[in-house]
Amino acid sequence: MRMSEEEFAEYLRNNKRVDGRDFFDPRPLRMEVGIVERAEGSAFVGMGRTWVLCVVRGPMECVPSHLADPEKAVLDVAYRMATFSTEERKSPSPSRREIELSKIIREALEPAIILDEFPRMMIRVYCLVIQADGGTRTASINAASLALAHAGIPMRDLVASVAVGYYEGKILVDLNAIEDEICADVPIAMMPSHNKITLLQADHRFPLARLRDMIEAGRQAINKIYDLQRKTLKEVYEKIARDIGE
Amino acid sequence: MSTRIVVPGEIVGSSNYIAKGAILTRPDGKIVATRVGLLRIKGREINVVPLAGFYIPERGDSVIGIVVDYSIVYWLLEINYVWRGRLDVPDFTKRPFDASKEKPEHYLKIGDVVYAKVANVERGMMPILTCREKGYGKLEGGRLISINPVKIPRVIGIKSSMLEAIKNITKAEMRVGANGIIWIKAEKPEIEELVENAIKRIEKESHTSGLTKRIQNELMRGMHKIQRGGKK
Repeated sequence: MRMSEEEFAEYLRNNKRVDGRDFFDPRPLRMEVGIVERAEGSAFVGMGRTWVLCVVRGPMECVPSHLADPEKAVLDVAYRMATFSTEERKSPSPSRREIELSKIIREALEPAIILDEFPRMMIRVYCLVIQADGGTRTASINAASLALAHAGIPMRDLVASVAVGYYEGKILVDLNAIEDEICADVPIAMMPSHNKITLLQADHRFPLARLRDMIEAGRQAINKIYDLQRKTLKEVYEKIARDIGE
Repeated sequence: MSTRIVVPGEIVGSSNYIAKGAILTRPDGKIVATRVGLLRIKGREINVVPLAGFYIPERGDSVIGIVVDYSIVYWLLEINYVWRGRLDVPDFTKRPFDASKEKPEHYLKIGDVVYAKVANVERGMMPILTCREKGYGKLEGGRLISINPVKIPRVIGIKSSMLEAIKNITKAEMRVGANGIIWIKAEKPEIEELVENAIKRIEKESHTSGLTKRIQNELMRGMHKIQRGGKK
């Protein structure tokens, strides 16, 4: 679906968002862990119509071996979009954007993972976007931190992430594809329990004075996502305990 | 004593507790869990027992390995770790080894299963194994079960209560490797299958209480069935 900027501005003037959400509300969230049996850790995250599957393998031997670090493990993130994830078919070869996002996701996760416990090893994270509707990098970060925790890799905290937008004085949280195209877009990732930001990007123009408000709006949504992440991880084990009638 | 499930980043206490397990002490004195695990608080002691993870060898661990490769003086054993374990020939045969007269494959072939002790391990390098102590050596027959290594303490149980219960009921021979591999050998394959199912159940339900009792009941029922079936 496409929308002209005038139409979009009309929506915002009437204090509405294109999908009828409140301005500070994230999209409906869906999370699941342990869906890929072969992998050490796996997670699915749905943020509205953005769906991401994330798989964690490792720790394993570092390949290529010249990248091995004698002090800590190497984190390797591969972000890919499925050919059927977008409106037009996406070429399966890794694009510049995918390589860049792999690096960004890696840098958002690295501060949370205790890598120095695994010298010379490698932890691989695969994020596959099954359906793209804006905010794929934030959904990938949410899924990756869930999958890493599910694999039992030591972490300082889970990383939760959301994109915050700005358009003509209005702040919008968790942008979908239409909003993403028109608004200024600030993806934020945080370690909520430590109150630290691990990713803060910005494209397009917006007044710097509003950045603090935008981060604050993002924090509220991030706390919601974080709570669901924690609940999802605990649910795996609590369900087994319930099944045997404790 | 209370137990509950915690996830990474969850604050489980402050620095006036003695903490161990999958935890991290923050500069502000708060103790934070680093893995999905069971939080156990006993007096002033906090322990986070992980529920998911992988095997990192430590000196003194007993492991079960499978021979995957050999050179003229050592074997390489797959031990469920990033690197293979090295077992030198004299550490297995317990006598001098002359590489010009003998070959390692006279003693162990590729695919053989060995119960060994981790003699030495350096971070980021190949662990060294040994079979010099009593009880270690080649395992013949039986079957191998692979489970998540963090669940091994539960299979052994407090003061090896669980392991003794399984052995007593089924009269099976068992070796438990800290690397998540368990070897069992029983009179009949049915009994081995029974033990395998019990161990898989321990792995799945490791975080619940009253597990030993449930496993005992299951094994007793299973054994009864097998013995009755044998008489017919």
